[in-house]
Amino acid sequence: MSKKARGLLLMLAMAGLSVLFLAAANWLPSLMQQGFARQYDSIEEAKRSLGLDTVLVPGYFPEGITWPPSFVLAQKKPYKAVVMEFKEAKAMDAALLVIQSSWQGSDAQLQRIRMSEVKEETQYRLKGEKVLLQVGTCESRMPCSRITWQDKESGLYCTVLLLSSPFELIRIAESMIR
Amino acid sequence: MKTLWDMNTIISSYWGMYVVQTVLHSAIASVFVDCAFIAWDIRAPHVKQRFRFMVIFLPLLSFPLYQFIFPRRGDAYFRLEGLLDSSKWFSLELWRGIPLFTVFIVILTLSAVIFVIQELLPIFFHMREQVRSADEPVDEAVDEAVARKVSKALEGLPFNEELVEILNDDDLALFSDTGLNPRIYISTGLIKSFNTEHLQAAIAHEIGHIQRTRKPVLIFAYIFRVLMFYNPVALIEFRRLAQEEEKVCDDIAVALTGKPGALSEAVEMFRPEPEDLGPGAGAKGIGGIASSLEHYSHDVLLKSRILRIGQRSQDGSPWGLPYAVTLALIVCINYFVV
Repeated sequence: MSKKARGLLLMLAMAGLSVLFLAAANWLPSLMQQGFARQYDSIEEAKRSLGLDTVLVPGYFPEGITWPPSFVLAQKKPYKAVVMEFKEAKAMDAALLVIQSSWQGSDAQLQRIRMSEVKEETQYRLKGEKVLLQVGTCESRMPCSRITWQDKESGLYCTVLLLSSPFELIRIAESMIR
Repeated sequence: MKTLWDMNTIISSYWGMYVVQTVLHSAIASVFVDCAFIAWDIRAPHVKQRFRFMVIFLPLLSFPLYQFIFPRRGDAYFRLEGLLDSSKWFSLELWRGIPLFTVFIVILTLSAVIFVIQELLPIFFHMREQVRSADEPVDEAVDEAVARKVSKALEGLPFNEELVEILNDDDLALFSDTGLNPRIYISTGLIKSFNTEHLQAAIAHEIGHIQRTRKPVLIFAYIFRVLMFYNPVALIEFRRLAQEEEKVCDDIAVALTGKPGALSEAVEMFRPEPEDLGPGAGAKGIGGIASSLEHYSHDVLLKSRILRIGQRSQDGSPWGLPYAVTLALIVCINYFVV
């Protein structure tokens, strides 16, 4: 075997070891402390595992979108956050996104579906809570709407995004506000 | 808790991610470059320099490039599937809720301070010194025997004698100004201590530095390193790059003089005295420790140069494939490190 080929094999072996080392380094913090972001099978599991006392869940779902969430992401570190994604029965992609976070700036990190253009926005009171309603288009050029507010009791910042017009979204948010 | 909130704002911002990832990416690149040296038995200093340059240059560009390719690289979903998510380590709580991120910030601050004290201020003082000395007449009478010895040493070397400045100093001093008007400065102390062959080898080494300014790898590396003033890995890599430069110039000196033994002996004469080395040497306190550490590391470098001059070998095979493989591995793996 030539020197170059031997070197290539050795280099690839060392690269493999480095990847293993990085993977172990990624896993180590979860071994030392709990609460880092990970996917959960259900909201109940996330609440139990992280000891979360308050998770707001919608009591109303538009036609085609049903409980339970198709994807749940939760964390306690570096800040508290719970993300729920709901798929439309016919489609494969998420159509409704519910985010609750203790950090106001978390939206960009936690929204898998993002609003690319805000066409209209308005602030008003919904069941006594000051909410911000935005209507526009999402990255997939689909019409979408988003509503955000801060839950008085828990102090969590809530965001609900729906790939649809705001009418259904307001009803979802209304069902969540206590 | 406030620290954690501040940490979130910092590490989720574009520039926060940039700083974090340049440090992580250069650390990974540094490991891969050292692996490449072992895998392909790369020894030639000019080849090693090109690999080390990668460690300083790549992290500066990789983050904006990765973000351009995939703008959502920093979000929770990418981090969940990434190879290494730095925010996990940063949010590890050490003591009374203080996150490990604080330690990271302290390391970056220390690196920046070291950069200013050890690299930026000396350049500033050197430039100020040059401006001052340019105003002062340097018309000092030089001993004829000293001048003759320098002329003899310069015989056969591609350098104009008029561009050699003799400094009236009893210490061993030899350095070059590699600017637009290159010059070599030699102290009378060095000329008196060295025989003609040693002097020739030492001057040839400085000629090497002047010739190398036409290939300004170090200048570019320095510019990139200045941009990453906070990066401790870039600090170490730049020093290693500069050390390789000394070895490249040793090779040029040997090629010009054909006398590796003389160069080796000349380098030996620059080694610090044994009493300057070790923990008890010189001044007491932190300053003393720092000084003896500097002497020690200088001595280690000189010893490695002497050893290398004795066993000088050039890498036979071209380094194109190893370079391409190392580059590809670094680029691919760093993409998944956020």
